[in-house]
Amino acid sequence: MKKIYDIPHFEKHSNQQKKKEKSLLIRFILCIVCATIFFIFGYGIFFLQKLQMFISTNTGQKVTLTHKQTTLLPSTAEPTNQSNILLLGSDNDQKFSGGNPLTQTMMVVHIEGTKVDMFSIPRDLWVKMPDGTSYGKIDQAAEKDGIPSAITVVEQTFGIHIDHYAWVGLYGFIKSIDTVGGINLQVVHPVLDYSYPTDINSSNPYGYQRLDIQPGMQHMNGEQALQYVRSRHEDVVGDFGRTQRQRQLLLTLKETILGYPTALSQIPQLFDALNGQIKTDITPIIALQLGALFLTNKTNPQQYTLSIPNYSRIGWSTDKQSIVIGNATASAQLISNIFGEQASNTTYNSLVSVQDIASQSAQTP
Amino acid sequence: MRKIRAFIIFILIPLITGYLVASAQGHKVKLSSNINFDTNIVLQTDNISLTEKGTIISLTHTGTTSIPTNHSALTETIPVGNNFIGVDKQTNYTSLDEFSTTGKLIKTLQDGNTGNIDTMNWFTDPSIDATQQKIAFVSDKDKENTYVLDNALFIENLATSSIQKIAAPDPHSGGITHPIWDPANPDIITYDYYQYDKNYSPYSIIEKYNMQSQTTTPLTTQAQNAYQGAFSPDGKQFIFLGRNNDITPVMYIANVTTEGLSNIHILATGNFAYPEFSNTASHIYYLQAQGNSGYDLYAATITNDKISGSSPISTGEQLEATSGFIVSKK
Repeated sequence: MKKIYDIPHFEKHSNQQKKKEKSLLIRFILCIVCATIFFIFGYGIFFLQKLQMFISTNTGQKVTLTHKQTTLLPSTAEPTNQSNILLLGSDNDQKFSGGNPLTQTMMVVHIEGTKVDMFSIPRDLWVKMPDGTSYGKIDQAAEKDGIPSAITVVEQTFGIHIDHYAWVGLYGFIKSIDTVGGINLQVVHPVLDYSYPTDINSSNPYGYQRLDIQPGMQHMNGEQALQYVRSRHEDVVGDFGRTQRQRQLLLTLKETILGYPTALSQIPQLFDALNGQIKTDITPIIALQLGALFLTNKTNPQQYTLSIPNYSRIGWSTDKQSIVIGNATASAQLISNIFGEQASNTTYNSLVSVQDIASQSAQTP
Repeated sequence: MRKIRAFIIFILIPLITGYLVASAQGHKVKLSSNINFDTNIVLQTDNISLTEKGTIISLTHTGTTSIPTNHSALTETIPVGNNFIGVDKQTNYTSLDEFSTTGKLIKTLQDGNTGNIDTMNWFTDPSIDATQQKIAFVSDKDKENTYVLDNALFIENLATSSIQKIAAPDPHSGGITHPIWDPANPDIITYDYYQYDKNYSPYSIIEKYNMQSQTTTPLTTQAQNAYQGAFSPDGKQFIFLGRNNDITPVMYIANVTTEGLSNIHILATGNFAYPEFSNTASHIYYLQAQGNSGYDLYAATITNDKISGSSPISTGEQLEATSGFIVSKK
């Protein structure tokens, strides 16, 4: 007769039970892990779907340079460890019937390994146009022949190679900021503008309004942030002040995304918002690399411009336009410092045009 | 059958749920549309006035009083006697308006609407002196005479309505903001003065103007990049913000001397705006950015030259930092 306290049997039974329980537990954990993986997978599918739609609409837009390239341009298409990306921002309102608005923002992002420099180009810089004969403000190049001309004029003037470009219109900017919930900005200087264009959601492209942005911390929506980075009237430093504000916003945006990762969850919506509001030839892989570099780089990008009085001065063109005249010698050194070997062989030639302007096509007030 | 069930439960459903959750991220419904105030944190000596979306809000230890006006763009409201004076901001101009305790417009002190966009005026930053006889404000109203478009500092005698220009910025340098009166000396007013350095980089200093001697003295240095100062109720301490870079403000505290400020040191670093002393001077109130959607009102104590025990007075929907707030005696 078996006793219920038959220890060996009881132990055997107990061990089997334990094994069974353990097996069940492992299965349960595996199922939960599996469910979690597929939840993330489903989440990722939505991201990828949005990314795919965004890419097919907005990226990979190669531009054909319409003007004959000068000898200034390096022959290598893709530098191995350096690349320059031309960021363009412009009006996209009804003032420009030809579809090619002025590039009100021109910024070259120079990437060398993990080092990132940002070189802002004054929109009123007086340069030789891509046709090689006429002169004009650098922002007018795009008005004539679109983005290819903007790229060409930057390459010719500074003797650098532009590898990629990205253009964002006004509505794209507004939607981007609104999508991440606005931005908290430290307004470092009062912004007073008595003729700020009211060309957003307006039937009158020539309308204007008065603007008074008070200094201090401000929470801005997309339209307010645009006003902050776009205004340039009634400011003694004109376009230079605006350039500083634009770079400040970029860096604050980076801090915002890093500080509040929930903003990252808005990326699919950002893709939707930017659809049709951005043009670029940057491929998805490069876009992801750039995004990672921008967000993970602990050192903020060095920022440069042809600032007054060291690198440029305010002058007047012969047709009485207020322009910025580059200081050839000082600018050559600056360009060489930023772009290194890439520009050093061509800097002299490129800045001859700026020298020409100073002596031939412009006069100081 | 069991395998199909497991496939549905642990693969298909999580996959679809993940997709739907990602999709829903951009369609979040804002759950709260109200600002909540924990007035227990407000000291018994204090009355905090602020304005949000056209409603004047008074916070005391015992509770909240809301005075709705029909001026939805009203900001920068200050208590004057039993009434309030605030900035009614329109797209192209602002006006200084006086409201009753029921939120009714009593009168317009300064009207920025000239009817012509090219001659309209800004009137901002109202600040009342301890006697409530004089109001300081910032305006570009003299631009037609001076051809300087920047905001200058004016003082209006409320009894006589006479207006005196106190300080004007360099042409196109940016302007003057945030005038505040020294509670211990009615002849002293300070303000933020904005300027560019020789390399055209912007900076700000806080200046002191003495109406008796008609002299101007800088209280802070160019390096401190100071703005938004506030006196303690006895006028012996001064708190202000500075910018150590373009992104994060620094909060300073200092002792007030006849020469200027002494013992200036950093209290804290953060996304602060409009620091103010409590009436006991043992506490401060300030706005601080939370997340990326606005600001909350905080109270904190000053202990061993540091702020400690900071607690949010406002929760829920966040405040707009453009308004600032005023601490007065209850």
